[in-house]
Amino acid sequence: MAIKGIAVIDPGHGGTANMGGSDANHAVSPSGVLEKNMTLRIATLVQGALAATAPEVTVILTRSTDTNLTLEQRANVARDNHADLFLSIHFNGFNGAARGVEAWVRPKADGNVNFDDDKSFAERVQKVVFAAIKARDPNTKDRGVKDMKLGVLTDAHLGNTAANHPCRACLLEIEFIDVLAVDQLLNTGPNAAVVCEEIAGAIEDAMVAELS
Amino acid sequence: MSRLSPRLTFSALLIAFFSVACSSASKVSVETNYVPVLSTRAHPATRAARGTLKGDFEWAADSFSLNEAVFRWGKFLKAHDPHDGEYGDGFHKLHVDAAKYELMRVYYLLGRIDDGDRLLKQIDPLTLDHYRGTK
Repeated sequence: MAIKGIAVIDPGHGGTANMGGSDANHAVSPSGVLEKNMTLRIATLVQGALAATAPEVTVILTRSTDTNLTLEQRANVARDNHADLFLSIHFNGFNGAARGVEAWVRPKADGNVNFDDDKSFAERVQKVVFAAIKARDPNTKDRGVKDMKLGVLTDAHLGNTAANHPCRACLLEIEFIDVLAVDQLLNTGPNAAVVCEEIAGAIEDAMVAELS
Repeated sequence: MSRLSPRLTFSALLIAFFSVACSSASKVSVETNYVPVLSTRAHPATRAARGTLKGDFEWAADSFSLNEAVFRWGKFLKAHDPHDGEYGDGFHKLHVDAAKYELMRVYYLLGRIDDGDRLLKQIDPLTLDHYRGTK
């Protein structure tokens, strides 16, 4: 049976100006690669992987070029297209040493109408991405699924209401790209392109499973 | 009596000396060098631009004294701690939380217990009040 559904993938950041809660860029790798370019790269790879394995799944990117959108505009792409899934892709950065893969959902206490579905989706995505990176680099860490108020995951902007909440949504922080080992793994190393494809493939698998 | 006076004077001087020494040791000058705990100082060549989340964080972490750290971390939080509690991503929350921990520590080092306690309750690391991203 063919897998059907509508998936919106949101490559975090973009452009040069901060827009309604969305900064143009956050993390930068030691080799100078910007998070906004890495998010677009992974999102495009996921889109390609889904097109190949689940052609009946409609995949929409919130941006396909180096532009920035407000957090509300990003979520509205899901609302306007009646999306089943919304995944915001990010990379992390802190002190050049912190590591790990984490995912975020909006807290139940802040009115998330489908918290359990969001959490289940987030756990599925975080688990496979962590496993994909762990297979290449044992020093990565499982930072789990957490919750916080995130503008891009606001139910009203996603089109979810208490009565009708079709869109499961989460935000994924793939790794800390300010760490040299991660930069080598994803950007500068000989297998960087393959590793990015493996991560995208893992996300694709999780999204297909979620839609099945 | 005349033999005891020098002893008493010496003892009094000794007590006074240790009192002052202990008092000085327990106080931290506002000009004491500041070294961040959670963050690291960025190399000048790779420092992000001021006005950005990362650049302002690095600027605060680069404070030279405790007094300066209070000013800079406070300024960072005023600019980047979301007033509506809505964060942009995990990177944003990580930096805001780290800034609060750094500022809390500086308050305690300066003896500003009430200010430190206020931040500790706001961060709520043990989620005793089921703190979930709201301020």
